[in-house]
Amino acid sequence: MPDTALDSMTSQAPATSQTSVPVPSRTGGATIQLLDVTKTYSGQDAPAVDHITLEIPAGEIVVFVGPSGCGKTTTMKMINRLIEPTSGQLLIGGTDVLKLDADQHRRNVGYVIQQIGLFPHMRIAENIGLVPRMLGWSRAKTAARVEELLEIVGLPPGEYARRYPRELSGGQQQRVGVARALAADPPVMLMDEPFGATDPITRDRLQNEFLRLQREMGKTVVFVTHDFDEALKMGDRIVVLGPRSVIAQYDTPEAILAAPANEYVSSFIGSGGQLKRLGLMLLRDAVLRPAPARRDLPVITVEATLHDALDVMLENGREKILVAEDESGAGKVLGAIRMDDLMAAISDESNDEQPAKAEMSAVSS
Amino acid sequence: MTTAVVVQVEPQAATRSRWVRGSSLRRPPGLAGMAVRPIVLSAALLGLYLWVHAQALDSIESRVLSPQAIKLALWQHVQLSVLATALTIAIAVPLGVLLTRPFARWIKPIGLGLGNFGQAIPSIGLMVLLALWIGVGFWTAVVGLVAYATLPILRNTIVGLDGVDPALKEAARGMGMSRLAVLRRVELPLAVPVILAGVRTALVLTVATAALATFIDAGGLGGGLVAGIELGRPILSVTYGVLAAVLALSADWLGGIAEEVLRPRGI
Repeated sequence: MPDTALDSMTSQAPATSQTSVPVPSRTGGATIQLLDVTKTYSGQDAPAVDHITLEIPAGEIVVFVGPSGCGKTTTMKMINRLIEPTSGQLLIGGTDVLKLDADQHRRNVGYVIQQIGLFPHMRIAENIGLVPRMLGWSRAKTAARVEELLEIVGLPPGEYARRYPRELSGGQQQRVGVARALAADPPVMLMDEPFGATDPITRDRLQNEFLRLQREMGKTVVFVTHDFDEALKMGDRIVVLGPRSVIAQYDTPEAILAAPANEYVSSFIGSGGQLKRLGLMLLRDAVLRPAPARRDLPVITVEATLHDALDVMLENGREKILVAEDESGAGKVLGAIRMDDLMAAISDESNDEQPAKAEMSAVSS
Repeated sequence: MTTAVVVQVEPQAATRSRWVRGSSLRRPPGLAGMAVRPIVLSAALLGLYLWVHAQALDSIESRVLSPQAIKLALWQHVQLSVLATALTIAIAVPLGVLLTRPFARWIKPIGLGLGNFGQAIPSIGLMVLLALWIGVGFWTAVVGLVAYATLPILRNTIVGLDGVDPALKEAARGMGMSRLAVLRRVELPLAVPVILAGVRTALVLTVATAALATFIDAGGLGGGLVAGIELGRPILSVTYGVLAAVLALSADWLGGIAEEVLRPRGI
């Protein structure tokens, strides 16, 4: 979807085709392990982060979600040592990073913040090239990488490389923010509410773009948000954090929705938990009924979720709809789905997820 | 006197179309207006010259108004001002940087207090006190001028550095810049407009105050001004007074140009 990668303002610019985009990453993710990590600020009795032990699998997006002040950002900032842990161990790819030079360590961890933080007096190319230059890359290699990254985030380098940040829209600036974090191809990325300051449409677009990038890159991403719906969308796994960064539940989005560990997690999910579950299930993965002979039923694309399917049923007052390869119905009809199937999917998943959840909580405890 | 600049990134998509591809930002309109000042000042000098020439001068007047005397006084005045301002920058900017570092935040009020103290003493009193303490002469005047002009630069350096968006500093640290690199590559460049505004203020203040250097035998345009009053020859006071004013306004003009030229692009 390279055309969605561009703001409407730049839609006249030639869209780069997906196939021509070079491989954005040569370095996959690395496992992050927090072992009994605590942060106590001087002059405070209660720790801000209280003995957290957590393993973040390589190549996954793990979302820290929790209310303001629960310590989720503090926990994340300990991973790149912007905040030094009071005690505990921190391993990335098996290396004890607390023993490394903090500045050197940070150059190998991508960092994206809500305020974006592009340097206004540096051109876009300089902003992106900062970390590679600090790591001692040559000018030529850095310039090539900058061009590559601008292509990847959908900002044609010819047009954008020599601009200053304030000549870009907010959404474009955060694309540059992501490109800057990826510049030196770090195995680990930390994202602190990266899309929190953008309008809902831009946010949705940035989220989709990042998920597309991540499918190609396979970085280990720690993503902090207070928005549970964003956590569901972005996370391979979600860590629900309570006060003092105590883990309330650590599991896949599906499993958390199917079986919240306790009252606190349920309250965080809020109402409509089962509808949200439907939103995570793709028609592509569902078992469809054979396509009926009748073709006057509403049609939905196989790319949609079960939640979308329910919406179409309610909208048309039908209990059964057709699933086709594309929305218009011109494509091949793959089958049909009924309201009963949605209900079955919800109850099936709940049963399936139980053992998986037990396994996960063993890891996280 | 102090211009607080909020350094912040703002989406400006609406005005973006105005910029051509790969362009730097538009120059602020200040530079065109800058051309007016030299014309006005030249006209004032020409008027002064014609007026003085039309007068019948006695021997004292022609001696004090001789080209050699004026040149010497002017040169001394410029020397005093430039040297004092350079020393002030060399002292106040590093001091301002130091006082904004996290470890030194607690002495910031003390530093600013000393700067206020220097400026609160009447300048003539400061000169005389210094002369009593370290004797009369050129260097005493320089010390007095530095003490007097430190505050605007110190204060603007502090305001400028404190005004840098904390998110930018955090982004810089998060990318792996050392504290020194953050200062050099992010904080100082972004504080430059505010610091320069302070330098401009200090420069004008110094040129104006240097007229008092004559009281401690350090020369400058103040000599002719005072002589006119003491000898009852107003033409001397008028001539040297106008020269001092033109010099101060020229310094301000140069400061304005420096602000425009040295301001980092993009902000």
